[in-house]
Amino acid sequence: MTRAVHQDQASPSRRLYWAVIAFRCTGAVLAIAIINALLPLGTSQSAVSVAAIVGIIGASWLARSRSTSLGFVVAALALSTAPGLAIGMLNWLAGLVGLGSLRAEAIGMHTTTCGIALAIAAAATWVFWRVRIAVTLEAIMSLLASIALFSAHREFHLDRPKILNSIAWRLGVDPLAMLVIVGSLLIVSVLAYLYLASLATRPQADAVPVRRAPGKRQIFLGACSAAILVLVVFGIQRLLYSHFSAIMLARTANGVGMGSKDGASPLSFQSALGSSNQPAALVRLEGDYSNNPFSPMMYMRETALSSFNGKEMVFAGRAFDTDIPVIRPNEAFTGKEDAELSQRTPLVQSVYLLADHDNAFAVDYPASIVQLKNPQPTRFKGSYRAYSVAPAYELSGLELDAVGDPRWTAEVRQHYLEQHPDKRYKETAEKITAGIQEPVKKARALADYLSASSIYTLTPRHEVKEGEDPVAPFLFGDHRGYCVHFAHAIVYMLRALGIPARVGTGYLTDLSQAKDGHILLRMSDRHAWGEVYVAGVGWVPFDVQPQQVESHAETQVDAKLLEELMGILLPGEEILPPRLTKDEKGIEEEGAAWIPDPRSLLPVLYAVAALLVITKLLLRFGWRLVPSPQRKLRLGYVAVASALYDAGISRTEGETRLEFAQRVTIANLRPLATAVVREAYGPTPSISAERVAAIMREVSSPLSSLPRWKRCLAALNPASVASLLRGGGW
Amino acid sequence: MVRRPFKLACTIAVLALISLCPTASRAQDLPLEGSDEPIYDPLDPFDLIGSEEIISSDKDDEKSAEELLRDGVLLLQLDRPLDARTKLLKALKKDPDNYRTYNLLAGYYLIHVGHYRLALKYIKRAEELFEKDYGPPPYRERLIRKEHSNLLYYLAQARLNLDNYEGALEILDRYAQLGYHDDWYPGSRAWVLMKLGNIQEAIKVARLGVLAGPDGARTLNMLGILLSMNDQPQESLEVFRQAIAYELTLGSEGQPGTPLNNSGEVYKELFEDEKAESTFLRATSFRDGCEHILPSLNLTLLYVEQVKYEAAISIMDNFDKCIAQFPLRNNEEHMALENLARGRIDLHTGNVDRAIKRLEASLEGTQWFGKIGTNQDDMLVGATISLAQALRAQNNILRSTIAATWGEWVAAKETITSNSLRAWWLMRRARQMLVEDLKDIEDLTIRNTDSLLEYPTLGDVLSGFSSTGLSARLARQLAVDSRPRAQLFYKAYSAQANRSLFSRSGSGKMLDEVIEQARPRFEDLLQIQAMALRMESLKPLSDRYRDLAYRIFYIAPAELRNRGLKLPIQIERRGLPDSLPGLLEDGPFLDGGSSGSLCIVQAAAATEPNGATSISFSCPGNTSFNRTVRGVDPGELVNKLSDALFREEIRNGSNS
Repeated sequence: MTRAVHQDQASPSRRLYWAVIAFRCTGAVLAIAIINALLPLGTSQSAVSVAAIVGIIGASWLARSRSTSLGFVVAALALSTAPGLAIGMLNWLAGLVGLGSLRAEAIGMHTTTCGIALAIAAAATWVFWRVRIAVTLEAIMSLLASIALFSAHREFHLDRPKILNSIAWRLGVDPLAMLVIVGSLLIVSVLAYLYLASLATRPQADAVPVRRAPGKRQIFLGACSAAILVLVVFGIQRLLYSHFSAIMLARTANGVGMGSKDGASPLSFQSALGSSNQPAALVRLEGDYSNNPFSPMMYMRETALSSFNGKEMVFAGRAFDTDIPVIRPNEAFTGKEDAELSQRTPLVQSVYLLADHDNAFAVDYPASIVQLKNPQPTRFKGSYRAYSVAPAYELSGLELDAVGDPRWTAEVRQHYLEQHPDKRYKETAEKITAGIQEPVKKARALADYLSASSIYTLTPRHEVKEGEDPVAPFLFGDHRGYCVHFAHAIVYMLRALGIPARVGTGYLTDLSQAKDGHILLRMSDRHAWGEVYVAGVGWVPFDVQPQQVESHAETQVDAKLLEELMGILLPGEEILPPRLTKDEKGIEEEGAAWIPDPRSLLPVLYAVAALLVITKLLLRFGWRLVPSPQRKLRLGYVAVASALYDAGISRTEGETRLEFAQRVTIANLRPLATAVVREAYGPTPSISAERVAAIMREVSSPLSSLPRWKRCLAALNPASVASLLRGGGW
Repeated sequence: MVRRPFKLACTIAVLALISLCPTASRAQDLPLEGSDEPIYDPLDPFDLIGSEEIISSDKDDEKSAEELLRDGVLLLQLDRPLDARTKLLKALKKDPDNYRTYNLLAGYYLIHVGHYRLALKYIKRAEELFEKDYGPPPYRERLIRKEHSNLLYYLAQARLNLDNYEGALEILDRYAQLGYHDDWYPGSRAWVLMKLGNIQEAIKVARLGVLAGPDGARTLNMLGILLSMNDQPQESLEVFRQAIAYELTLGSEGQPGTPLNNSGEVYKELFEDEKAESTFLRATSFRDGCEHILPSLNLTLLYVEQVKYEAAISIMDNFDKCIAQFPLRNNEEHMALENLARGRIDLHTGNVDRAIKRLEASLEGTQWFGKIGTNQDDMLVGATISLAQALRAQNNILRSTIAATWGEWVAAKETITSNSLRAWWLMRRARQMLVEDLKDIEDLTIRNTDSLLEYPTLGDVLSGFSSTGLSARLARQLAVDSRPRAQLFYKAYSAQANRSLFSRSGSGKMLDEVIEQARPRFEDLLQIQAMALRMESLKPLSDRYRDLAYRIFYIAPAELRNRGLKLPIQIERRGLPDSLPGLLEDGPFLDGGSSGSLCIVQAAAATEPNGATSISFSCPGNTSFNRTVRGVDPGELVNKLSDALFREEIRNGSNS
């Protein structure tokens, strides 16, 4: 009994001690993984992690011994530098005898890396155990690390850091949600660590423990508080998420958002800083497109803005822009092919969406859009095939063509010529195109002028008040802006010259980054451009490509990701089963760290839940299954005590079963407790089966006096199972 | 070194496949006499009648798998790879058990796409179905043997491109055991043996191949590479000469750019820089030499060593223009290497911020090394060292930049600290890779053809090794490398490694020798490196320091500021703001007194009413460095002058 009591008193602090060490080790391993991802260590991550863990455990052990700080420093230095020194010595000897190899140096570097990890981890741990303000310092460090981590997302750079983005991609979670999850987990982990660290007895730093080590009940309450905290944190994060996700899209997509509400615009003039390489869609060209007039670029139109609302270009409604299938990606479309249009070629594209889209997009003009089977619903948000009548004209051959469609009614023509009231657009346009007669040449001159004079920046930072023209500060001011500004400026000027024009939105992609006709579209490929209707040809993009670039999000397409996605599309496991390359070398996919498929975790979760239920059922009703009266009595007591435990009623430290039975008021536990004690400590086991049955009848529903919701909560509480795993002790 | 693509062999293989299509089914598919359908002959390269019909997918649903397969073959011949791929996939859908379709798709992914993993899957499936149709090898029927040999060819090529050399050799052994032979075989076998390090055996195979096979150019090219690796440069050049002549006889089908580039590399190894330059230039003038990056890259890196940055930029720009003619070419064939080359040019011309971005992009980018002798490790080491050098240069520039506000000062200190840590770590990592991934610095042989190291500045990374270890390694290298010009480089490395130790004077002497013996025009970067190292051990106002500073300044001004060295100048104080002389000394300048040979900084005009001042920089006898800058704040003036002098903006072959 004495021994048991002694153990009970000692174990919480020991458990805390190991819990703190486990937390520190986990933190060290995570930190090493992050450092390795940012700046490759060159040494096995596992080896460095093991060194750090050795440092933490060793320093913890030394900190609880009588070792002085000097002794610790000597020990840590010796441990961390000895292997490196030994190898250095060997290397020096090898140099002296003229071996002429530097391989020992490389081994020395590995050991030094491990030594550095060991020394840093050990020093930090020593300080933690021995210095009173260490926990405060660690709290400040955690805070600074969190600030550093989250500062990377300023200005909507939600795809940073790369390692998180990569994990988000693997899990199929959008980057903002990933940030919310990581932020919440981080806060909860740090708080949990600090809580544990403040409880742990630190031999030198604290003459007396800061707080008494907690009992089971306190742990239970602590866990409940943590759960509530998690819920609150997630709640706040959810609010943040819903607040930011609305403006996120335009910011991460070059200012070109989504949506097709009449009289509204999905474009944003304010800032596109945050433009990200987040994958948006995979497009597969099903045929060659050698006569693409914009090669190597390709325009894929999503919507067009042809109505002017006094401030900006907006959707015009279904009466206009009938060439565009304003449909959701999961809808089918059959367009009317315009027989008047020449110099076009059929082009089939299969589109596999990797991000949510409000509208389907395709190379113009889509004659039809049909749904495709989604090859991997966990990866792709949807898929469709577009049959387009794609441009095949020579841009230089259009110069003498007329603009506008002769079949248009006066109303339609007027719609595409609706002008901006600011006269400066007309003056500027006339100045630029002075001496040019042909409208297409005028359009080209305007595009060339804007390309030469504009400065591409994602942060134009123009001060525009509500209702003011957001394009004027660009065109008549500093000429700094991005595609949204350029597209509006050229359209206003074109219309001022009597040339029918509109703003096209969608994607502009570089085919030189495609592989086997597969194009990985990213959010940074979203684009807006000016378009002119050329008679007999249709809407032709007149895009501004600024020669001066102040900030640009252009980066290479992730070729590995592209190959991985291609592998999902082509032609399927039934035709090319993985066994074909099972024993082949060099074909393993390189990529981010292995992340388990969430679906593969479900069976494990189900199994754990099932085990939990079965164990609880056995705890509650197991006594009925055994024949021996003595065992029946013992298990009956366990059944009642565990039920009470789940309701938060348990024996305190040093409390006897009889005292406990006396204390419990919601059920009559006394006869059962007395019988159990008598059977345990009496001279001979004497209780009969009938007597046990009678006692159990009295107390078989110990929680019946509690309200129903409390009984439900107790039924769901896994505390009794956890207690059983720790050895019971009801 | 560039390896000749195996396109020709594949085309032959494809044609062989068509000829193997069962005669009966082909006869069935041919339109009947008198019908309106066009008749085309897929074996006739000039018969393109009906190609538009084929491209159209309207009737695909009605076509049989065999017809779709034939369409696909024809479309490949017509250079319409995506149309062909779609047809072949449709054929596969209709008949998933036809090994020919898999074989063609394997060829498509090997040749047109470079997606080797996928190609391997197709070819393995094709092999499986082939054996299901015809049983396990050996085969007696000639056509079946031919087709099986083609399967093995693809399999070997796929494994080779996935760096599975043992696997490729195993296939080639099987190929030989089955009694197959084709023109590509000796070249491929020699290549695999070379990759496995068995050079002597590879030479033997290649020599036999040259004697036996009609596909001389490819095997000759391979033999040339092997002879060059075997330290037989003259013989190698002779073989390349034959290969070039052979390729030229093939007219538009020939690929003389490949052997030209390879012989250029041998000239470079022999330190015959002029011949190397002209050979690379000639290589870039051919289609295959223009569309592949290696000749342009080799020439650019040669120009960098010669401090001809304008020419280097111009070569890269020309390459970009050339590659723009192939809009569907994937950037991963060249972008990482191009970023590496451009990053180095930016570094040496003082555009360090841009250099860092480019070098980071180079490290992050994927480079396809399918047909190139060099590999990912070579590029990683080269880019890592250059990035560390760029970070150190950025630190030196920041140290010599006058901060306008406390915020700027703090930001600069923060950047310097993180750059120092990162540069230290990258140099350490590079040393580790040099020893572990590049087999005990096998690339220490100066101007090793497959290496992407910058040899004149390689001492920056080597000096991090222990001096005894490095001395022993250099001694081992000197024992096997007898080229006199290479000795100069090794001497520079020794001097740099030892300069911080006790033998500082010995190191200085060695550096002086390097400075004197480096060939002007060809080894300017090496000379600058040696001069900069020498300056670090000299008193800043000594005559020797001044002399070296101006020698560097007139050749490559950016190098001075990049390396944290100051330029002695004469400051004409009259009319200058009082604080300016002190700030100039905080910047990249040194008050050298009133010696007549120094460049002069003086007021260019009277101070304007708004407080703006103009200062001018002029050098006696060298007007190309005259600069005038204007600014309100003295610190701003110093920064502007530094940028004007030590940063060269080179665009389209002209300094601006």
